[in-house]
Amino acid sequence: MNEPRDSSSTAAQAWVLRSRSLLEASAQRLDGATLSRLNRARQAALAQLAPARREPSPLLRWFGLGAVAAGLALVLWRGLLPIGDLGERLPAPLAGGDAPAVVAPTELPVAAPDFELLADPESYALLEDLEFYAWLQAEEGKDG
Amino acid sequence: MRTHILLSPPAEMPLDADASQSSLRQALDRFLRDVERRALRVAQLSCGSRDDALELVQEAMFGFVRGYSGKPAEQWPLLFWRVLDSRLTDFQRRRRVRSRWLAWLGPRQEEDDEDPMSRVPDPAEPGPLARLADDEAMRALEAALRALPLRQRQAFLLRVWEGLDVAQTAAAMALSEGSVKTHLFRALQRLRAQLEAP
Repeated sequence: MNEPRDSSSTAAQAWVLRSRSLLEASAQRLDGATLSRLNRARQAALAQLAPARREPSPLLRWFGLGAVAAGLALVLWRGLLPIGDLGERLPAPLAGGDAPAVVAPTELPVAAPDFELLADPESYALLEDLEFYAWLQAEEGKDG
Repeated sequence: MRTHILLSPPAEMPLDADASQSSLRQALDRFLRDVERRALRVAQLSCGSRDDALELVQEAMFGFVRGYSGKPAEQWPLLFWRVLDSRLTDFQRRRRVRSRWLAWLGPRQEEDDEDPMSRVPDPAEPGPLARLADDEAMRALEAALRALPLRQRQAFLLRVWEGLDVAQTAAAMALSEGSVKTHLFRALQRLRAQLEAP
């Protein structure tokens, strides 16, 4: 009773299988130029997978930023410290409102003779002549 | 579903990023090599021209690798056909718009266009498919497939040739399973009526 239906179903299946094998055969019969273009297309698509430049992890990036910020803060702190400390380093105002007496410099500090010696071109020439300088010292020693 | 040669990267592969990248590339290469010929034929049946078909397949490969290469390999066939189906739909839409413009601009521009008669199956050609020699049978089948609407053709090719089940075909075509069954039924009816007519 089911024979016509079964035979129809079998015929349909055979037809589908035949179609499938025809399509498969047509796909296998592609010419060389087409296959070459397919190969190039595939390689071009796969080239997108080329390892990209590795980005640092977010944690590492934040750590780097933190380090830079800390470095900047340290530089600023060290640079501004003398100005900040200036107030502490100034002598405290004298009690009783006595202003310190302004003393006019009457004599040069200790290093001044050397400075004069260096500033004087003749003395500078003497310095270059070390033997003469040593003789002069020896003569002064004899006189003393 | 058709048994693909592709396999996921072996579990024993070192977890090194470069090695895993290389393994992924090899697996994708195998998959695309396996599917590319059928993809080309499917595209060609829809757009007619081999150059257009090659371009569409290349676009599909690009889109697939860019968007889905990170997905599990078991899902690749479905995703690849999804991308290609989307490209084919876009292509068909563009062609429809273009032919509308050409029709509006006048017959002079139509001279360069494909002769619509070339897309109509030859009524003298069809005969019982089983009785035809392979080349003739393929020509008849190809002409009949080209004469089908895109959705019917895609449903037939994905279900019958690619071996996707109804659910997978529905996912690949972004349709409901019911729609796929309807398209498939109509495609089979038209193809058999055309190719097996006495």
